[in-house]
Amino acid sequence: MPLSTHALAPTSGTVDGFAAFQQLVVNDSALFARLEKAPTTDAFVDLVVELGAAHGLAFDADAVRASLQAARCAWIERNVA
Amino acid sequence: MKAADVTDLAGWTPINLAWRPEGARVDWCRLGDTRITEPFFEQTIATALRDPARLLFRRQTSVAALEALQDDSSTLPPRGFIFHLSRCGSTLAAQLLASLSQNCVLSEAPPIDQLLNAQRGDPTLTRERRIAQFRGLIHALGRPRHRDERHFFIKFDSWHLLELPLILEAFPDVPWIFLYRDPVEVMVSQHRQRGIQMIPGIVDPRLFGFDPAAVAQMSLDEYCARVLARISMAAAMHAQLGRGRLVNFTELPAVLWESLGEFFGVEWTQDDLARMRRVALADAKNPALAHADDCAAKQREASREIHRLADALLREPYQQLESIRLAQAAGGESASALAASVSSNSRNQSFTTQSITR
Repeated sequence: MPLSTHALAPTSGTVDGFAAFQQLVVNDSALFARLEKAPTTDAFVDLVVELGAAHGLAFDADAVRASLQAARCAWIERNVA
Repeated sequence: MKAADVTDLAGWTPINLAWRPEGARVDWCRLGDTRITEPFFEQTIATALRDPARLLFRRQTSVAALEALQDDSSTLPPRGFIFHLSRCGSTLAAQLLASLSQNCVLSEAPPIDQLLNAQRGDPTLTRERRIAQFRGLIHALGRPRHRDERHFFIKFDSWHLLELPLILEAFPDVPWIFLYRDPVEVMVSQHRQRGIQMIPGIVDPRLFGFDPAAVAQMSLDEYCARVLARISMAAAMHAQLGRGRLVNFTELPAVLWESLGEFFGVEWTQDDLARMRRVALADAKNPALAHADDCAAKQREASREIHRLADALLREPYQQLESIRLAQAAGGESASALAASVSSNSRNQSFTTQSITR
């Protein structure tokens, strides 16, 4: 049965490129596994930018950090209507 | 947005379900192969989301994704359900089961509560769809994450006992237990630190059949006693449904290794038994502390008001539960008759908030 599914929305920076990268990662467990191994948040952000560029998607570290912050806030407020 | 097949959700675990005007959204996260061993599922998720990859690369679907999973055969079927009165050893029981690597134990997972509350989010939802969504959610939560996992147990929130008929309609063959304890001891524990169900408005009082206007006139202790009474009475009334068994706190922890393994249809090895006995020495909610028997202390600590409320509202349901439990232990038919009698009496006696005098 086909289902509608999407990655959580990014919020700032070079949105289109990062949104496309998010969609790519949620559908690619191997790519996710590489990102999951990043030892620190700084290393994770650098790796996201690097892998994005490797897939032809341009966005910067600030866009990744802003999306991380937005995701934290959205999780905290997840049940606020 | 992208169309996806159910198989696309392999490796994803539902971690939240939010009701929005535009429809319910299910939030999914990759938990990887980490075993879930925390006393509460929420702690597992909080830990998982400290990982920036898991936080950032999540997924959302409509609730229809759950319905599509209702017949998913790739998951661990539930092996046992744990219901409880609260503050009566259910976390200990869950932690003993979780101490064995073959067991996946989910404790009070918020998506289950959010789904069981679905009718408040969408009053038009039919019972049939609620059951389909519930089955799908349990299957999604029961996907094996660790290679050792073979048995899937779910510990519900205490108020979910009220939804037992729906839960057993979705999973009629799953054995379930209801844990309870001397009501004074439960009330003292709730008086020290109240659970969310004991604070009117956090969990909707209407869930328990209470009129909000009457609730506004009650002390917190009285509200607590009435919530406990409602759950106890429902447990006694439903005791004959499916494959149920009542378990008193006083039987813990030994009942886990003496008879509940057989009840749930699993065999413990000598190593399993030794491990559970070791885990039972620690405090279930804070394993860094040693377990201490606090029954006498709680009885001493109980105020006159707590004793009064327990006697007025909880003593009789507790005795009904005890009668059914002892009849179950003696073997079968008299327990069913007792539960049927409780059920019949409960239908004839509406539970009103005016039935206690000061």
